[in-house]
Amino acid sequence: MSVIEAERLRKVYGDATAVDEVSFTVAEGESLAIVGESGSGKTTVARMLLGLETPTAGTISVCGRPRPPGRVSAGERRRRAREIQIVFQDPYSSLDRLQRAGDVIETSLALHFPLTPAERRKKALDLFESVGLAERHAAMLPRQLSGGQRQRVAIARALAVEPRVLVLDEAVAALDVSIQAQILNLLADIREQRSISYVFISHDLAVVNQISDTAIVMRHGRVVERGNTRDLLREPQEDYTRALLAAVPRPGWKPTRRNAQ
Amino acid sequence: MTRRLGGPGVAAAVLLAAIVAITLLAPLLAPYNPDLPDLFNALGGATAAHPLGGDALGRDVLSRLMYGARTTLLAPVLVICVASAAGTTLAIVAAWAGGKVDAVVSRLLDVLFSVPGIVFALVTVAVLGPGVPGVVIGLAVAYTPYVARVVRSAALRERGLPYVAAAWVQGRSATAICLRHLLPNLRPIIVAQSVSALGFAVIDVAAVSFLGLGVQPPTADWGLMVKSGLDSAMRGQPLEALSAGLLIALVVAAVNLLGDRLGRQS
Repeated sequence: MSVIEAERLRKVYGDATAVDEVSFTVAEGESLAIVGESGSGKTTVARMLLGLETPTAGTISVCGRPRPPGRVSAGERRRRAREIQIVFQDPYSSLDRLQRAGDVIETSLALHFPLTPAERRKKALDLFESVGLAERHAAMLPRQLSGGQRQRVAIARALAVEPRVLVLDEAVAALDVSIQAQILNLLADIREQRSISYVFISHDLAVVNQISDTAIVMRHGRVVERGNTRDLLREPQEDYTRALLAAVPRPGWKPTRRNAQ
Repeated sequence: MTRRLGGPGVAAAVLLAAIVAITLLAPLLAPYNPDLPDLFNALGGATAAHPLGGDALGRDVLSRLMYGARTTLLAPVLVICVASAAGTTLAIVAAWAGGKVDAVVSRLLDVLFSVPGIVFALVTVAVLGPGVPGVVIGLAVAYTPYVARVVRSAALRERGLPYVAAAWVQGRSATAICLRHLLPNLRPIIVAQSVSALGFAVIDVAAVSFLGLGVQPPTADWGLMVKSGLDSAMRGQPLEALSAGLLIALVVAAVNLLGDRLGRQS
């Protein structure tokens, strides 16, 4: 069964078409990567999945339920929250700078589960532990945490509502490489332990290779190539995918000097 | 806090605190009843018994200054409390709702902003009659856009941050997001803008009193003292107008400096 079915999504801002005829499905437990350069429309796709943007055309269903555009009740929004959650790129602005890390998680839990304060606190600490944070971090403000730790808090916040799908919008792009590896390992562990699907949005093909089963490549709002991630990276069929692959810096890679005029 | 305000900021805060303390303790500190005429002291110069002399009716100017801070400062504080509350509410609602609501609120604020505060006070005084309530209501309306416009643009910026989107995706209500997240984060800007508006409100309230439409005699009030002191000055006793005018200037300068310092850190 697929947890996400996006069909012929389209988003137009004025004269600019950000997303054009994008369709994909995500099966239960699958990890789908959406790859593309800046401005390819991949973040707009993510925002439409979460209901942060309304598609100009096309349909989205999550967990078998269609999500038509329009206002929904508070209860329906909370139900939808338990289907899909997101982790944003910027670990600095994705947390309220005045809210302590533990309160971030407890607020989510209070919103979704009837728990006593003691149970809530216990569950928040369990979540902290599952993302590799310690009890002492719960009392800290975002500015007292490193970028990697903040991203862990953001992941814990998303997991707190026990979603079926987690959208990761460039979730490791703002972190340095060693922290990236830690977070990617954490995400892989989480997927092993829980029945959760990922939509992993990235421009970084090295990262995509580690985290996803299937991938779609977007350019100028359109899907140019799709398939199994490993095959796609090994034998890209499209020139654009090849160009993206060629752009990945690797050992021995030297920048080519442009001819001086 | 002290380090953020810097030397001049602390000096301004101390000065304002001292004035508030003196006016609260005026019944204990004032040498005379501020409303008691004493014909022997009418238009009297500075003496040991009356350091700032007497006004046209012989009332002690120093005592009247001490009591006068009450209306002079309380009315502007009321104006700003009401204007901040209304301005912040409008700003957050406009920034959150966006679209047409934002357009209507913003145009309304632009219209209010284009009319001088004194004019609003004149209108409400014309309806309610001279006195503090009319002045406070009129000026509160006039100062609402002063707070709202700045807070709205800050709220728009704040609203665009991912943590707000995250809270929305988590299923939090708009009210909860506005009150628990936006408002606390906007607080420094609201405070700074309100304090700097307070400086202007002090001038406007004093000006309306000077015109005879605000605080009514015989209540002691600095704006009123500048007005009655002008007559005394013509008759050779400038201390009343000078001392009241100087205090208004000092308070406005101190409040503006404080607002500026508070604004810098936010």
